[in-house]
Amino acid sequence: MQNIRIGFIARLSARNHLPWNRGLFSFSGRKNLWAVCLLMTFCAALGGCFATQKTPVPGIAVILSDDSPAFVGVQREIGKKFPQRVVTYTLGDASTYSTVQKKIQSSDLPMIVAIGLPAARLARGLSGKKVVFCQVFNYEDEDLVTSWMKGVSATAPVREQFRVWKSLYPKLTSVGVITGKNLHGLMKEVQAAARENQIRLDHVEVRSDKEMIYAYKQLSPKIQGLWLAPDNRVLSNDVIRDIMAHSVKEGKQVAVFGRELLGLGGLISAETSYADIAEQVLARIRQAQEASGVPGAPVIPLTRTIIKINTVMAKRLNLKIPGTLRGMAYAP
Amino acid sequence: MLPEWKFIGKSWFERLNDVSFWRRIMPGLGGRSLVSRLLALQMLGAIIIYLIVNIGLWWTSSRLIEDNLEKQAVRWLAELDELGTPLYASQGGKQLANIDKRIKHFPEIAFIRYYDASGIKVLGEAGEVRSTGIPLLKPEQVEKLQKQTAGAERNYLVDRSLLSGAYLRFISPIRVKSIRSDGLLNFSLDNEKAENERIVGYIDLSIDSGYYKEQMVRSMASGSLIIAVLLLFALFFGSRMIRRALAPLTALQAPLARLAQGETDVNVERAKDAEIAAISDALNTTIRAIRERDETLQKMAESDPLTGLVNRSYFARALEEEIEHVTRDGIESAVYFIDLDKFKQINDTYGHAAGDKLLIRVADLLKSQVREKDVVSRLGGDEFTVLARNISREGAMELANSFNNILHDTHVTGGEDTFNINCSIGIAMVSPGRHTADEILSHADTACFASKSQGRNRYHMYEERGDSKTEIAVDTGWFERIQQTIREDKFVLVYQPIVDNVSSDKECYEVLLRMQGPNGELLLPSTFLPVAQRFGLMTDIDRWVIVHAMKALADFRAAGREIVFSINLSGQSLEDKSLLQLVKDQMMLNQLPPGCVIFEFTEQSALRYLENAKRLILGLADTGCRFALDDFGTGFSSFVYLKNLPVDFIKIDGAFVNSMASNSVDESMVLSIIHIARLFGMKTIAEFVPDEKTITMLKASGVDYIQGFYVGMPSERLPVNLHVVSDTKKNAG
Repeated sequence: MQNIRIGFIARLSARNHLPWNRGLFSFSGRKNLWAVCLLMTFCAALGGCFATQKTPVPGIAVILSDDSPAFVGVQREIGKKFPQRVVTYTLGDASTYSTVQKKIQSSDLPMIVAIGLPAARLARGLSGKKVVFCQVFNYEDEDLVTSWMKGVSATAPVREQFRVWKSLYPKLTSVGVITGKNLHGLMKEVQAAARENQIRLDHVEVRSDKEMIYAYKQLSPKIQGLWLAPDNRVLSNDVIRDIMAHSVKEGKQVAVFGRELLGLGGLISAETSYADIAEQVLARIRQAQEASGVPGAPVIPLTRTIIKINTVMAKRLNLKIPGTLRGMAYAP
Repeated sequence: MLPEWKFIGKSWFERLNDVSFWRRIMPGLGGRSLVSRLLALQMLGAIIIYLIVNIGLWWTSSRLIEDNLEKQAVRWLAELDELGTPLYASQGGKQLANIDKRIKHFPEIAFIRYYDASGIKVLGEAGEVRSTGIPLLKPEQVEKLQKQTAGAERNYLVDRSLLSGAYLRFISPIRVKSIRSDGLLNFSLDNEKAENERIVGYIDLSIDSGYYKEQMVRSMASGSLIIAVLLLFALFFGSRMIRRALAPLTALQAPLARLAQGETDVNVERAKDAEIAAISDALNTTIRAIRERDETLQKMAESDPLTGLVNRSYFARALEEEIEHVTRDGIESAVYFIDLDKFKQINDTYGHAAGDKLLIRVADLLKSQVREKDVVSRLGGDEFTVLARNISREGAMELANSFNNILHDTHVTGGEDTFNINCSIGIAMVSPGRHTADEILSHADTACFASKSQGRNRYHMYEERGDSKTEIAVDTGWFERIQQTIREDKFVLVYQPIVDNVSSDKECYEVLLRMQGPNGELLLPSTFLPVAQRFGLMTDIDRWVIVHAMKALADFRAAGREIVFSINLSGQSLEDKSLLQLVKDQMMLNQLPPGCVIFEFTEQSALRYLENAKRLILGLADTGCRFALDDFGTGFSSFVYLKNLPVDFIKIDGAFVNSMASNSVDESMVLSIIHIARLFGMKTIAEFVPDEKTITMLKASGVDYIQGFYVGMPSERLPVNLHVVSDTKKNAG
């Protein structure tokens, strides 16, 4: 319960909706900090009292697509934050999928966390289980969403990215987005974030990386910046390089999804946090515990993001980083 | 059809060394020479270099063009890959216009096609030759490309078979990539995980290599021309250098050619190069030696080694030049033909050394009498000729007289004896344009002959008319006349009695020879025998005499007369080895008894052919023939010879007999000869008996036989009998 509380507060602070929360981060002095700590301890103790009152979760099964850091990191966070039994299954060769699937199916764990697309695909074949997937971008293509299977977004919160971007470059009014098909959920979020920041969004759907670069070159004259959507279907390393090179050459601002891309000319990068993912996953698990399926939206967004501003590109683009964003400054 | 080359079948090396090969190629090369061969080899080398360079250029250029085309094609494929993206995005053909616009400035691009992922359907086409029916991709090509991975080094196919290689066709797949589904989590460009790939189409690009090849041919032509010009320059300067380097060697050619043509006044210039200088030195040394040898030979050929005088050929040449000189300048010169009297006797008596000494002395004497410009030569033996230039007839005779006098006044020693030299001189004047050198020499010879006939130690000036008879003697026509006389038995035998002072039982006659003249007159032996002797006819005459005399003797004896014939033999006959058999045969044929034939040969002949004479005497000993030594006492007689020469008779020279009545010395000579003959057991015959007084003296001195016109004239017919002869003799006395 303590973890849930902490996640809630963090989510609130990330959303930046609560004035007091904003004040918390702006306090200067030990007294305020101690007061926050006491409050958090109290809340955590209160949450533990509530937990003992509900039916405890017998445990969860975590399926890892592989042992890559992006998956293992989330799994570890889940392990830390979930006090009951956590059984982890790591997929190896595709020939083992059916065996793993049978094991999970026959286990007494009703709640499944699928980390990564292969794991989600495998979990899609289970019956009588409730599944929450994460670290999957194109869930719509795979038809992963059912009443008993929902997910957590793999993308960092777009609204926060656009807010920082707008703060950095107030004249930002038009941004382009190029994606593959069937990213409706993400695009809704992007559209909403753009509207909130008075930014016009030009969205182009392409089918391949080749079209991607072509489309970007076509689109480039019309936009001030590109929000590089993390759609692996239409991105390749070469295209990413070409896009970044073209952007640098054309003086286009690019918001990227990984810190490494700042080195190629990205202006802003937004990354997710394993802990945030794990919290959102566990939150959905808990919601599903009391429901017949997995309640809520097909995919819930993340609440926190780690934003970095490329000082080199900012300087090159004659952008002055505001004082409130200095903490995000990053020199690749 | 075989080519015209004659050296078909030869190796190339032989062909290169065949000068006719190079003459055909380069007629100006002339004969085979080191320079021309080096130049030819240089030219061959230049041609080979030219070919190698051109082949190398062609190969390298072709490779470069292909490599460049390929690299260019790779760039084009990358660009076309991007340009063709709309074909795969919008299915539209509008973008093809952009491609056409892009490639229109690149004429080497023949056509471009875009295919779909199957490689069968053409999505778009661009280029100038899109409608020429270029075949579509083959399934195997598509399959091959599908098997290639995106990271392969060569991600395309090259087809060189299109339009017989005129087009280079490059086929490349159009690939799209995507990052793995989990690739964007903790994204890193260095992520080693492979991306997803798939082929969405193909680009078919054909480049007209002919365009580049045409450019290359033009460049090659220009390059070849420049190389050819450079090689020609190199050839030109190379040939100049070769010629310059070989100049010292070729400089030897002209002097050597002159040397080969017999010229010895050649000097080979000494070259600076050590090797050639050594050759030049050697050649100069050789040429000097040849020149000295030639000069020696020339001197030997034109001079008499004994006397140092010029020889006959030189004299003849000098005479020809003098004839031209005389004709040109209208002057007169004289030619002298000088023959030493009785030189053979001196040579035979005192030996060749004495004879040679005499000849040298005569040469010196003659030279002392002539001017520097005159020429004195020795024709051979004891014959000398003198060319006195620009001299009158009178002067010529004075000079001849001086020759006679100086020679006569000169005393020559032979052994212990001292004697004078006499000579007969014939003079022929060299008049403008009248006679050739041979004719003039012949005239002088004739005049000399006349001089000799007139009594020796004198000169005779050749007269055109007066000497015609004498001239006939030396005419070669005489040779034929004598031969004809022998053939036709036209000689006439006359018999001169030899009277025995002791017994008159036997008749003895010396067989003498006469020749019928053109008008039927009888010519004396002094007319034709010198000619016969000169032409080597004496042996034939002697044989004729032997045959006919023995036949006549046989006839006379058959008529009942006891006659002895004394037959003269010349010195030449003593050399005739067949004479012995002839005599035997004739003796047998005519059934002549021993003792009826006496053979005479002169003391000089006997001494000259001593061994032959002894062989003949001994050979005829069994036939009963006897031998007489004629003219004994005039030929520097040595009584020693009588010991070794078994003759039966000694005929005392008529010069002593003729004057013995008036000259006590001659009388003493006659008496001495008679005395000596008796000592050797030989009988004596005194010839040229002139009178009765002499007969009386001879008889008193004990001579055995007498002979002479006083005793009996030579006659074609024998006296009736010996008594008649005796009567005649008595009448004569």
